[in-house]
Amino acid sequence: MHETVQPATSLQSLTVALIGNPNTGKSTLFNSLCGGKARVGNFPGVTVEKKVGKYRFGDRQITLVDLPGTYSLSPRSADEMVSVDVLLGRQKEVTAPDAVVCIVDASNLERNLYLFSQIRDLNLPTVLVLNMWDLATSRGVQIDVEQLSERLGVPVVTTSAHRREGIERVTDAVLQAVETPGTKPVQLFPQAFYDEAQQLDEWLVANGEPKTHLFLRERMLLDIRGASEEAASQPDQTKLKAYLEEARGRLAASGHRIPAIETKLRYDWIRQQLDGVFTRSDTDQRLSTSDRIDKVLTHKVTGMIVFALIMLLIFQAIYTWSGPFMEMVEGLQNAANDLVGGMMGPGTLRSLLVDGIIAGVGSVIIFLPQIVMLFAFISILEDCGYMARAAFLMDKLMTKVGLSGKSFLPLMSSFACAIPGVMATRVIENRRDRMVTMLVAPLMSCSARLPVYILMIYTFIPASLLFGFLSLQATVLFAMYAIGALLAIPIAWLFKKTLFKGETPPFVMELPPYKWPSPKIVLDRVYDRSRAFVVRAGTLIFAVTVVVWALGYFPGDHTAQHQLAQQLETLHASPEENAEKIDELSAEFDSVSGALIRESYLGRMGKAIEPAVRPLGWDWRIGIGAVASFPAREVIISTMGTIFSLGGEVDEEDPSLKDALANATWPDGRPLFTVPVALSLMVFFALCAQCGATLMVIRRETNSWRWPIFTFAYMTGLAYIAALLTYQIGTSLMG
Amino acid sequence: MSDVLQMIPMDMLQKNESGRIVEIVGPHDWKHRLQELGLRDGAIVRVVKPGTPSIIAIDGHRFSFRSDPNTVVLVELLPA
Repeated sequence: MHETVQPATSLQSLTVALIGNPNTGKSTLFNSLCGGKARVGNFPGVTVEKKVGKYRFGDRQITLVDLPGTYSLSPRSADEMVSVDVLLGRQKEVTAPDAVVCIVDASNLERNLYLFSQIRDLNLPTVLVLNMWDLATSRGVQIDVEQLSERLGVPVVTTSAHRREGIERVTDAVLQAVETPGTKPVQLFPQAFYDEAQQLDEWLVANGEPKTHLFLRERMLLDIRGASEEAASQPDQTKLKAYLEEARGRLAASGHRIPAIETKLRYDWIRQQLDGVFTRSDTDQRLSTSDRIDKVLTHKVTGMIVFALIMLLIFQAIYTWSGPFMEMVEGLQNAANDLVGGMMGPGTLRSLLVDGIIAGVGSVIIFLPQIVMLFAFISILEDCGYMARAAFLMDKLMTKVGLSGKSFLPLMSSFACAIPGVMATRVIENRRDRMVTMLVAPLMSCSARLPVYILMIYTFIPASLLFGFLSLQATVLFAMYAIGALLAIPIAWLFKKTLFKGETPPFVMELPPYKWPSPKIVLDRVYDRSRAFVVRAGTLIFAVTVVVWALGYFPGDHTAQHQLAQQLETLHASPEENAEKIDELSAEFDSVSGALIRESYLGRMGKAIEPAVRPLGWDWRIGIGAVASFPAREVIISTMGTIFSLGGEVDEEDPSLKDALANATWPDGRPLFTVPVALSLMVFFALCAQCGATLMVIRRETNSWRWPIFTFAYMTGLAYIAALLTYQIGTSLMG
Repeated sequence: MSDVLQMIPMDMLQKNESGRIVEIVGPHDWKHRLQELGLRDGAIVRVVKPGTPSIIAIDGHRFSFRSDPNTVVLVELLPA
């Protein structure tokens, strides 16, 4: 909004924006500067993460805004526009920055300075940070830092952020940049271009849009169909687009072709700036450590084997390592029950607390250990550089269904959660591929399905070994993860052949050098994502749980049931003497509880839908659980926890849902859950779209209700048919 | 070396052969993306691993690369 930025000489607080190419160590620098204290949120209306940290430097309070890693400031989407808006002070959530820190990889200045040259056009005090300095010097890169700083007209600092070297110098340089008056900006483009930018300003003013930043007008002219074309609020957008089309036509007529002119001029400028100050000995020909690792990991045979082993290891680890942690959570749940039981006698409030909240929320929280572990594995693979290799390996497979390796990352993230997965499809330039990837991403087995699998497997699949070494339980878990991924292949192919016809998209992706994952970054990501899971358990799942409890508790008369519970508790004081009486009363209690829940609102609703779920081997309780889990899959667990707890099938000594399910029966006394029933329930949850948040994210990303509704319909149909086949085939096989 | 530049599509480079990018021919938006990623005119590309996709090295960085059927990166083959 401001044409020039006044040098801020006496500021006590400074806002600094941090920007850079991907894989330049930006997050590490951010963490070292702020000491890990950052507020993470989202910019409104877009899916860009807003990360803001604060730190003190001398008598200054510095607010550091982390912008998403990018190769250029040519916004093609509303998401990429966020960075431009923040830098220009157009983003209301963040104060206009007083300075910009542009971090680059010291060994790759030629390309990294492209972004820097765009940032220079902002005309803000700027600092250039040459990061990974140690690596660059060891690779034989030589840079005359003083000379470079003089030529570029900005302070230049060298750092090795991962070793915390040179960190203080960054803030020093920021203060220096802010305090010295800016030099006149370099005019990279021919005068004709600036004349057009000036005319555009006059046109905008005439159309009711005063005071657009020169940078924004430059972007409007340069980015054909870019997001900046929509950045002006006043004039009619079609009018503006038509005007810009004409302006570009005029420039082309005078020999300045857009957009080719931008990359050409910027790279020419970079070449001039680096001439004589940047030299690289010919180490590029040498096989680096990463290349040696890549020989194995990107090899079509050994690479695939390693890939399969890594995936298998993750699933084995999640299953076998999390047992002790789960028992701890279960212990806490028991303690909470005892605490409530000790404080009040049987009654409606106690039922709400024990049967509703503790049974419901507790049964979801118990899966936190697995989720933490899954997120940890994904973060480690991302941070060490393996994910890009996995995308490389998968490109061959992806092209078979008409997608590219770029779709791999969003799909892999969807194994943790479809929400970041759907958001990650933004890296796919091609709209058709992006749509197809988005529509199949929810088929990947996310962490919310894990609770369903674990509960079913833990309770109903025997802990035997397959071929003497593979755990049968882990194998079933692996199969559940595989089913969605395998079905996604024909479905993606079908979508690509029908709804989104088009050629196989090109695939270019940087393969960052391998590095040891940074524990700080991994821990941060695991913490953020796990916290989101717990918050969901505490809010959405909590609310659904209370509703389900109420529907299952009312309108029955619970007086007799509470009296029985009271009597049982007194008798339990000396269980040996009263063994017979306890058995008698327990049976009565169970039958009273069972009758109450069958007559409840929930029971009536369940009975109504039972015919639809009977072919899947489910009774009304499982059916109602599946319906109630529409907001989020893991709700099935809490709902079942509540239904079976209310129904009195939870043992007083061990209130875990696992035992309740193992003891649950049909009215005629047959066990409710058999292996085919457990499998059919798991298959249903592997494929269904029971996740309100994912559907909302699809809506936001596609800007239409059509696609979330479509996703829900096709996935539910698929889930029902697959669960039906599983149960029917399973039952006939078992005899 | 002869005076005539030997221009070939980048896909034709063999393992460890290098070429200087002369021109990218193709749709402008995709071309622009490639240039921003560093496949600029004049940059030296080396093929680390041929194939589809291939792995290429530019300025010490590695990229996986598979082109669009409509886009050709023309390079001038450099002597080994």
